[in-house]
Amino acid sequence: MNHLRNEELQEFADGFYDEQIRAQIELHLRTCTDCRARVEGLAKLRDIIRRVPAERVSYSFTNRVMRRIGVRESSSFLWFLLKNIAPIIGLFIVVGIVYVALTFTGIVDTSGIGQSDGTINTIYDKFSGELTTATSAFNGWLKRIFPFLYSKTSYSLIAVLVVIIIAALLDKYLLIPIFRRRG
Amino acid sequence: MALSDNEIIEQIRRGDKRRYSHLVEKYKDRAFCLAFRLLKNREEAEEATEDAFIRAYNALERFQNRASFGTWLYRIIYNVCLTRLNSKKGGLKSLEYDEGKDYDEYPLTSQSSLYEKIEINDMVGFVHKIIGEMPERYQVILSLFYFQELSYQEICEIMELPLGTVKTHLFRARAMLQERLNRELKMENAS
Repeated sequence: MNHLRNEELQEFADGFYDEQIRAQIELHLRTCTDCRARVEGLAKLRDIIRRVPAERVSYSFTNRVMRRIGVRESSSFLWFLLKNIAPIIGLFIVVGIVYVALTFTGIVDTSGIGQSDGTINTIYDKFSGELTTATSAFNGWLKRIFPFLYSKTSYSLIAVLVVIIIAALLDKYLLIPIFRRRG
Repeated sequence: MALSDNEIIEQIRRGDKRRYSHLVEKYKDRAFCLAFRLLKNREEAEEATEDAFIRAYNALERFQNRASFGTWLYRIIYNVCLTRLNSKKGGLKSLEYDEGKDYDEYPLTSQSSLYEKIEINDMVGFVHKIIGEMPERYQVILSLFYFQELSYQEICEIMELPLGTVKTHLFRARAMLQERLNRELKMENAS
């Protein structure tokens, strides 16, 4: 078999031949180093081209298109938070790491940490202790500011509903327009 | 389970316009990539892509499932970009496609040994740069084939060119790219 023509090489490399022709070409490639090198060159080129980073449209593109066809974004602030839950969790993790680092370097007061405990237990005890203290403090603060929430009367339910309605109105008329303007 | 393009289009036709955002999200970057190759300007390419999506939406009633939504959309983008290029003086010169059937006037030289010596990321950088410097007609064909992952036949439909012409231009584009890449790699090795 003579050397493969360029057209044949291209179609073989692109996978457009049926099995019978492919088998014939593969047979030729086993013995012809020149053609094999050319096919390998094409395959390598394909791999490199596919790694070229794609151009991307701006972040607000979809919103702009949807607005032009008359669809208003209905997502609420809560949805915005959910959509961005990954960075939010990431932020918590980073803050946690920084806190632990500061604790170990002594910048944050570590006097409460027992030296004899294992590292994991120490971090856990310290963290759970801080969390319990913070929760109790927050609870006490809520009790002082909103005593009716703890009175077990119907007022507490009404108060919660009012707060939710106010939050929803703020969300709809203040936060959503702000985020929509920012795209 | 994710809906297919045709199922989404069916829902939009039944009045659920919001579903169109799924199609926009799915195709926006690949569509923009094609427009950018043709127009060479970010803002203009983004405007053209946006216009194409609007045109596609308005014509959705007429869309028949003979071609895929992607191919149909790329064809609209291609035409929107050609119209923009046409409105510029001499803008279409570089997009003229000849009937060329002769593959062998372009040597396809492989320099695999050079590839081994260069970091893959550097090579990707070279290829990115070289593609950006190639004539638009080659950039478009490479983009449709490699980035939009279309078949020869789909490229024919988008560009309204005969199959032979598409194959030849794709071949020439690759030969030119390979030749320029080899030159860059030799220079890199020499330095």
